[in-house]
Amino acid sequence: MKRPDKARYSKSHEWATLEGDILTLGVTDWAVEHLGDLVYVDLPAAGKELAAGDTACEIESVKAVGEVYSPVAGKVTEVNTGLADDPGPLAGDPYGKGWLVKIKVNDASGFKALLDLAAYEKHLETADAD
Amino acid sequence: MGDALRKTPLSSWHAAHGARMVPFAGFEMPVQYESGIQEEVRVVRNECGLFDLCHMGRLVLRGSDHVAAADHVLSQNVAKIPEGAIRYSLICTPEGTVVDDVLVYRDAASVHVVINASGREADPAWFRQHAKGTKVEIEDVSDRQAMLALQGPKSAEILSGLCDADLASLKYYRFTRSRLLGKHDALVSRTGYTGEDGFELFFAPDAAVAVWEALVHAGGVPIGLGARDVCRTEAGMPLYGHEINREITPLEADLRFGVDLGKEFVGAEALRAQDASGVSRKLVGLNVEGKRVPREGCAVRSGGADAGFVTSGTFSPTLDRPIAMALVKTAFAREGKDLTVDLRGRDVAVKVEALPFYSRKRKKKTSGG
Repeated sequence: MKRPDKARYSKSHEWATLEGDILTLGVTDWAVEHLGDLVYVDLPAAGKELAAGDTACEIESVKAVGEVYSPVAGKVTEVNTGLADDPGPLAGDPYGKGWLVKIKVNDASGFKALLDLAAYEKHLETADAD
Repeated sequence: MGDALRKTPLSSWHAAHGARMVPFAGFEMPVQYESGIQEEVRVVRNECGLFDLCHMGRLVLRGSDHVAAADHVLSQNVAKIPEGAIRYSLICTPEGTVVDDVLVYRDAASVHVVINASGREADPAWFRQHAKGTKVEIEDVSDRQAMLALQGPKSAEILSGLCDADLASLKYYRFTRSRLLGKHDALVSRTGYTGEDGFELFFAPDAAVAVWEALVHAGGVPIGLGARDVCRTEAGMPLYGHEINREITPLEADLRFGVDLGKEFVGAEALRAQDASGVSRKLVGLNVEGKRVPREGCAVRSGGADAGFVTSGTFSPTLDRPIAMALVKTAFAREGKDLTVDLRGRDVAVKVEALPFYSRKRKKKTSGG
């Protein structure tokens, strides 16, 4: 799966894009594949305040749960509510229809500290060897 | 990474056929194949799943005292097991807690014990230590036998074409000797760990790939450890290290059927005392509100008070809802009792539910079969 160039990535397999002060957060295809069969996405309520590093949402698979961390402090403005009933788009299109939450950013430093695509893919080489 | 992982005779086959391989009890094992865990569970419940269990341990006890030696270590009454029959049993500590859970096969002049992969070091040592001074030989045949399982309603049909035994007359928890593919001597038992009808096969490891591939060709679908764990949880079956361990007794884990308190064995005295005073905690099922899944270790509470902890939890594809088992204080263990589970800092409402979550017999009854 082609990973978008314009996104930034975390070592815990989130991706994020920033347009103005709105950050869109998702998880990478690597995360989706390693969680296995997805069964449920537990999304936050719009309006929820998050600190950098807080759990923004949880992705449940049959045998595991993945916590999705917000790289920034801010307020949740929008969530991809359809995923709660059908996580299919997250499995099939994690960088598009499978986005998770949008956050109005208070402080973008956490976003700037994320990896670019090349650095993330280098990180995956070591992660795959786990 | 620590010590090199051991391979079964089929590890390379799994890896070459799309399995995701993971370390399990020191072995490199398939956790799932490409179709995924939910599809693999569906296959086991409706068709026939094929499992590589070569990593499990197997002991053979022989010699003039072998039944007495087995009866000293095992909670089940081995002397009463008819020849050709199999029983579930525990190995207990003197305190009555669990060293391992096993299947005991009573043969003409020997007793075969199938042990967990996690017990391959400890269990043979435990048997030897407790058999001192008796006339018994304890042989670890784990590496000299392949072990496969076929599980699911089509198992008998699929195996019958490859095996000489009269499978229709082989009853549940019985075993027989047979030949696979017309040439490989095998022990075939009607046993399993999924809640479905099925068979377990024991034969020479150099035939493992040929037998496996013949079973796949006949319609058996390779299933990984992920779906195996889901199936056993749906069927309410304990897994060593989760529902039972050296801090939990069989009576607490609702395994009374595997214990004969009327005979002497290591742990019997402690278990009789616990039986007389009543258990202070009990293994129960949890019916979970919502879709978040309680996972092992989550705290269970009753109105804020500590009630126990989750031992296993998974999403159940068969029931299309989360399920969990928990060890809870007896006061909170009655069916229908409302409790909460602390799921990563947020309370989820649960209700105590009778085990098992899934039973093929119940399913047949409700569907009129």
